[in-house]
Amino acid sequence: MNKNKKKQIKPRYLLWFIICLCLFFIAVSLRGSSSFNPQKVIRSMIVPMEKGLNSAGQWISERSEHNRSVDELVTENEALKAQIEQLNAKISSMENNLSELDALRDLLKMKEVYPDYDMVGARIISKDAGNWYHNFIIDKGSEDGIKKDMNVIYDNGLVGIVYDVSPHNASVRAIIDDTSSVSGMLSKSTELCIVNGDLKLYQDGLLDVEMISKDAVVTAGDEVVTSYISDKYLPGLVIGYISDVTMDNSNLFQNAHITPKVSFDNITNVMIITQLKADLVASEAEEEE
Amino acid sequence: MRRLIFYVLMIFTAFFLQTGIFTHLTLGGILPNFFIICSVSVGMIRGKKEGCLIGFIFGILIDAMYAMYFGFYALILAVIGYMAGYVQQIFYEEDMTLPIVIIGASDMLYGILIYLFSFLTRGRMDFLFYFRKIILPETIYTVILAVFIFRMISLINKKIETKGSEKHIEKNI
Repeated sequence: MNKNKKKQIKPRYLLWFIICLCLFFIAVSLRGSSSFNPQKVIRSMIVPMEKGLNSAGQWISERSEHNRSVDELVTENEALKAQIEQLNAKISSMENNLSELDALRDLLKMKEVYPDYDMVGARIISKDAGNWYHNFIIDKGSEDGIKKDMNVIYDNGLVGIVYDVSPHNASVRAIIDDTSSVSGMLSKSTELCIVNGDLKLYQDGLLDVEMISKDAVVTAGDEVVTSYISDKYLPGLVIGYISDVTMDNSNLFQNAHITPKVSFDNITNVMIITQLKADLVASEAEEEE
Repeated sequence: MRRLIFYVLMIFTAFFLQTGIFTHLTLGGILPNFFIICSVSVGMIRGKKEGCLIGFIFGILIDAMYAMYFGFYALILAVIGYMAGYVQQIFYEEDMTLPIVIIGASDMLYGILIYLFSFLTRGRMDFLFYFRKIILPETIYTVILAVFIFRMISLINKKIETKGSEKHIEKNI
């Protein structure tokens, strides 16, 4: 019965119906209600299944890691050991500096500018389905305390920002995504700039930086961190390092390219900072009063 | 009924291959496009209506997970699946070249539409670059996989059809 009924619909009408439905959906989501229901429902169905299947994919790529030869691993091990020595030496000298800094801060009665943020670990369960965007989905959601606009880091470098939250999963926009734009600053001179993701530049592993003041001294290798004026990103998170600088056509600004600190191709886990910038600003304002 | 089960299975397998397993099997950082392969194959074998519906369902799944505007991918894939249905009239199952060419062309169209609606509108002008680095490699990868997947879908389709007709005959008797 059902089949016969279906056959009576002309394909043309079905197409028009679907087009209208899609346009309606687009219109609704353009108006900006992020709690659009069908989306949430479909997502809550897919994500648990995807979690399991993604671990299968990771197993495959880990397999190829297992096949590396012993020689390679031995040399790598030696190199890493040497690096640990170096880092340990660095840590002890840093600790000295830190105690000095604390003492000086006490003298100045300054509160800590960049406190240790609370973080939650999460696993990436699904990456974007196409070649155009760099968004991904993590396995923690609003029930794990994740909120919109929380910053996501990995390996001490900025990865992106949470832009949509469901009860058990959340979407993250990476800083390399073509639509991403972060307010940054050069950590040496505190000159402000804007870091944009660009699909074209990312083919060479770079991000675009614009609006650096023309008087700023910028050299390759300079560190770029998130700025203190951003309303979504916490200050002082490392974005990347300058690779080359050019003067803007207007001669008012300098443009640059940076290499992101995080290598985005093989991240599987990320950390989410549960401190929101908006809350940080609010609590600071309260304290000042 | 059998066909429905097949479609559901096909949609889920394709979706998880695309978003899970194949994100670890990229060629030069490029993912193939299973959504196009499946919806265009179904469109070519079964006609406009089913191609359109399968495209729409795939699109809704992508939209739910990733899209900025819910409905965007559903619209593109539904239209492409519908257009694949036009081929049904001039289509022989033995011939592999036509379906492969159509799948390649559809994937290219898909890439161009995404570029037009979500990159050009944000002032990314360098079409040739995106064409060379993203659309073309994706098409090539997709076409290679399409050779296998199309054959699989058409084989399963044949099985369903012969089973269905046998039942039909039995019922009539």
